[in-house]
Amino acid sequence: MTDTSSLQAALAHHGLTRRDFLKFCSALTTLLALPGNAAAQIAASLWRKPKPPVVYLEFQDCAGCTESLLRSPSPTIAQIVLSDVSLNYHETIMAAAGKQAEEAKQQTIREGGYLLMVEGSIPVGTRAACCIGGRSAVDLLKEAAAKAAAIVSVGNCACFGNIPAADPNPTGAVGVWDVVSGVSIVNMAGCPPNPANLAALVAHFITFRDLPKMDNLNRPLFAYGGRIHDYCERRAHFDAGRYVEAWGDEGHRLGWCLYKMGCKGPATFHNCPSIRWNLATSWPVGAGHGCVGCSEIRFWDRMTPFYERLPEAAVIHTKVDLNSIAKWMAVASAAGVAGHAVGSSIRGKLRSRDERKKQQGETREK
Amino acid sequence: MLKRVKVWQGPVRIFHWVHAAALFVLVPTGLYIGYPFVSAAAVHQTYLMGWVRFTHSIAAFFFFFGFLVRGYWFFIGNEFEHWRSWAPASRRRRHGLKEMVLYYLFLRKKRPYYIGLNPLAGLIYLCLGVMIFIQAATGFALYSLPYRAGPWHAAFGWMISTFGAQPVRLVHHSMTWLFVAYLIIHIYLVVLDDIEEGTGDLLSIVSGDKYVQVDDQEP
Ligand code: SF4
Ligand code: SF4
Repeated sequence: MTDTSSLQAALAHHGLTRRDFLKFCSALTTLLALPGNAAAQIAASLWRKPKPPVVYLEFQDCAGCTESLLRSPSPTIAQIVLSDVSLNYHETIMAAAGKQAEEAKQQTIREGGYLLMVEGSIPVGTRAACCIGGRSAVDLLKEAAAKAAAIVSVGNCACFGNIPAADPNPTGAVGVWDVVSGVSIVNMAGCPPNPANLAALVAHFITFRDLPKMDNLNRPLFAYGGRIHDYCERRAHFDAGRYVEAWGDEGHRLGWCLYKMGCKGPATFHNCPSIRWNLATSWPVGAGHGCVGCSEIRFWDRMTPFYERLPEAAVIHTKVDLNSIAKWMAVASAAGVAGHAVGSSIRGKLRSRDERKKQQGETREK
Repeated sequence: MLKRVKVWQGPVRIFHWVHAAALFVLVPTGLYIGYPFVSAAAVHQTYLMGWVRFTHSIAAFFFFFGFLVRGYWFFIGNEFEHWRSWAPASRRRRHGLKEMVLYYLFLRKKRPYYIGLNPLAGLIYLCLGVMIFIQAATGFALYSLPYRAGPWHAAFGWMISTFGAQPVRLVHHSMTWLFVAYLIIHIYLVVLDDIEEGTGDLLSIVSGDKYVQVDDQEP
């Protein structure tokens, strides 16, 4: 970590100028859908010291969110703002270790008013599944949450449990908002979430000391307000009826819609089509792979199979193909009707034969 | 001698045919949206999925509002249209239900006699009502997805947040096949009833009348 208090020094260290910084602030303003003059306000706030310290905790995770945050091809200002400026504790990237690191964290917690970022799910079933320094994740999270100004759940695991919580959820994993109450929580969903969105959120918090408007899953609307399918560049092909039928076919090469390849864009809220990934060069659907719906709650259970249009229904931990069952019911009803028609016509024949006999009997009696 | 009885009044007949027409539009367009079995060629200036989805939504609105009208008529309609002669609410109708099932299973010789709906038919149509309700609710929930600030999402969005968009889509899609099953059974049974009852069952949903045998001896 470079100088923890000076953004200027951090920028200089990475060979970036103030002009680059201002461009970045304008971009964040656009991302947050704020009026243009807010850019100056954001720049002033980010430049000013001191900034709220950040404590970053990791529980049941793959550190993929941290990777996504840090592993950009060149150091971006987002990364500097997020990691270099005020990060007081981050297990994966801090230089300090053991007692030293623990002390830094404890001091930050004592002082309060910090931004708590959490990555990874929290096992509330098998608490021993995730312990750091002999203390369980639930314990550590509650301690850190108590005096936090706000909590940012980074990634789908911390938001909703994600893969560790996928059926049958062996550790009883849940998201931060299932464990903590009394502190505002922002769910930066995604697997991983986009660092640009994270930077925008932090900038918003630093500038306004407040959280942005959120949806019912606590996801900020600036990043999760729009549906992938409604902003996708392949949408024109969807409406026209042009679909990729197999990987690498003519349609795939021409950039047609991935709907039939199981794209979950129609069920997913995220700004990937506009913000994109890897320095905004591309994004999954742009690169020819369907969206898997990683910003949605329980996406590992509900969006799978990833390459099929419809999900499977889980009935007592068993995957059931509901759609095929219903289809066979339609077929069975057609077969049943055919069989019944034969039966009814035989019954009709027998009935008229009986009546004829009866009539004959009656005439004979007369 | 045959006597003419007014069984289905105007609004009920109109409702029936609006529903029939809407269903014949909704099922194929819905299946197409679920699995686009026809793809447009690269060279064509089409808007195939766009039109199919547009048609599907328009038909869905007709379908749903027809459903509401019919629901209202359950309470103000004549004795044949009233909910009481649909639901197996009385002991007599429950007994009739059993007899009707046994008859269809070839375990009774004589067909139970009804002028309006027999108890089994009534029950099937009530089940259809439940199916329509689920289909409409899930359909509107999916319809609300692009605009979460709008009224449709306010009314039906809770399903998306409770179950997720994909499970809602699965139910909506699977239910379509039950409508197909229903159509097959419904059309078969009315034809069968028309033949066996001889009261003009098939035409009654056009004219509203059925023809009932009354005793010639009586003055
Ligand atoms: S959200 Fe995804 S990237 Fe982040 S820790 Fe979980 S699995 Fe890894
Ligand atoms: S590729 Fe996916 S998100 Fe894009 S239009 Fe097709 S279905 Fe929608």
